[in-house]
Amino acid sequence: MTSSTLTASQAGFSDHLKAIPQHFADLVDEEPKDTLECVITALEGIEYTGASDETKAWCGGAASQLDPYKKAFSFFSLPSKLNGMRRGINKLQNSDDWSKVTPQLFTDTVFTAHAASESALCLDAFGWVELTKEAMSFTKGVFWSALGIFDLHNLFITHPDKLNDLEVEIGKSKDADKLNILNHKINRTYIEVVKSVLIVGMAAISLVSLTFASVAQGVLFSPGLFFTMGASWSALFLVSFFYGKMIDVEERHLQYWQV
Amino acid sequence: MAVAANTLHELDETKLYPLRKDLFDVTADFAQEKSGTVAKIVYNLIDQGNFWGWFSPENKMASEAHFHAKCFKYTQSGPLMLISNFNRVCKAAGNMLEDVSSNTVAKTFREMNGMVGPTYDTAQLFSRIIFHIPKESIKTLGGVSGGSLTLWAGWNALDNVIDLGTASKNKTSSDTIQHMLKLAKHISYVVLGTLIVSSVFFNMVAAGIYFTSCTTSCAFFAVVQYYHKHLGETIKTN
Repeated sequence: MTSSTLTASQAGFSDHLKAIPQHFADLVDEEPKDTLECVITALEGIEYTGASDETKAWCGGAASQLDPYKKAFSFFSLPSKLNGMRRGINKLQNSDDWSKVTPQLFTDTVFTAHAASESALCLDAFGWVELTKEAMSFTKGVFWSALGIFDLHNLFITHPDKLNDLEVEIGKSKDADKLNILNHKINRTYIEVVKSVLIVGMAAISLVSLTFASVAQGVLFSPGLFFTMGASWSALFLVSFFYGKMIDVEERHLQYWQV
Repeated sequence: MAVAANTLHELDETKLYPLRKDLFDVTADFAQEKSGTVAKIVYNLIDQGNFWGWFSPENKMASEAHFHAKCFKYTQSGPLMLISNFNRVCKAAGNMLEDVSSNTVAKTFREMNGMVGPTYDTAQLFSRIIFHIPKESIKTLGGVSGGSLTLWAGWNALDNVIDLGTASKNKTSSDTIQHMLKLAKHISYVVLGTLIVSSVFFNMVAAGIYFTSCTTSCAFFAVVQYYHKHLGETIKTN
């Protein structure tokens, strides 16, 4: 029997089951910071459950103890972001096609601002640098602005481009299994869109509360709302990550059958 | 002006800026990829500083930096590494179940041995934060971890010696240097593991500086190996 007579079936349940440890390993290797973020959010979430006061206090303490180490990942990635900017400036100085180089440099700058502000928050959390109230507001402002700008860019440029490319690919493809994978990729991109909307919303709430601290009260700026948005982001991050990995398994399976 | 512009267009843009990784690139990548090693270097330097009297005992900044650097390193080499290594054990065990041979059994044992270190580092992390496990209760686990470290590093050193033999025949001098640096790093780990086992199980009294020197040596060779591997490497462009 030649491979051409075989039908390219979808990956089975056992294929996905076997890949679970690999997905978790990828999660901690590729996204250690966001993994910690999810753990911290889960610990913080206990406060909103019916757990005993002792448990709530312990979970709150554990979350606040882990938080600076999550921020420390940004501290260590700061040189890399600065280097990205250095490369971008170098390219800009040596290239006559500014339209090509500028967007990348802009993204690098946003990344650097985000990493630098989170590094400052990390140093403050460790107690090495004591940020004044104004400095803290400024740092948090930079942090949320950078995140907001980056996700606005994703929301209006990256995700639509990706969806467009996938739609074009769907139009070209006739293979049912490939179409299935492409549809899953589209669904995943929609999850990414919701993630970006959440971040933009959180950034907007944070910036408004930082700017108008005295009037930032009521339902809109309640910690519960902010936590819900953060927890939703963490849940969507995990869903989108594992969904992406499951799509990879399907894709590998399809490639195997097509060889 | 027009001539200059044309010349600029004719030039390959990629030749206008360096395409190979320089010292800045490698240092920046090292800080991001090997943040655990950077933290290790920080606390080793503080340990060395304490030994040579660079810091006064009242220097809170140094002791806090030491504490946080250790916790950060343990966050990575503990729970996160544990999850990562569990996958390796699953893979090796899966292969072993499909084909039971001395090779697959040895591979599984090797991967399972790789779980001991992260387990100890997780316990170390939780002895410092969150659970505050008493340090005395994880002393034996520390000894077992030392034994596992010796075994892991000894096995790798043996592999390096074999690779060194083949590298010197077939490959470039750069490969040989890489194998030698890895060998030096693994030998440092063997010495460190032996020291830990001796002090925990055989009550050997060794000054702290011996342990610090060994970890410094491990970190030193890891850094040199990384820089040697990546310095001058071609940068991938889109």
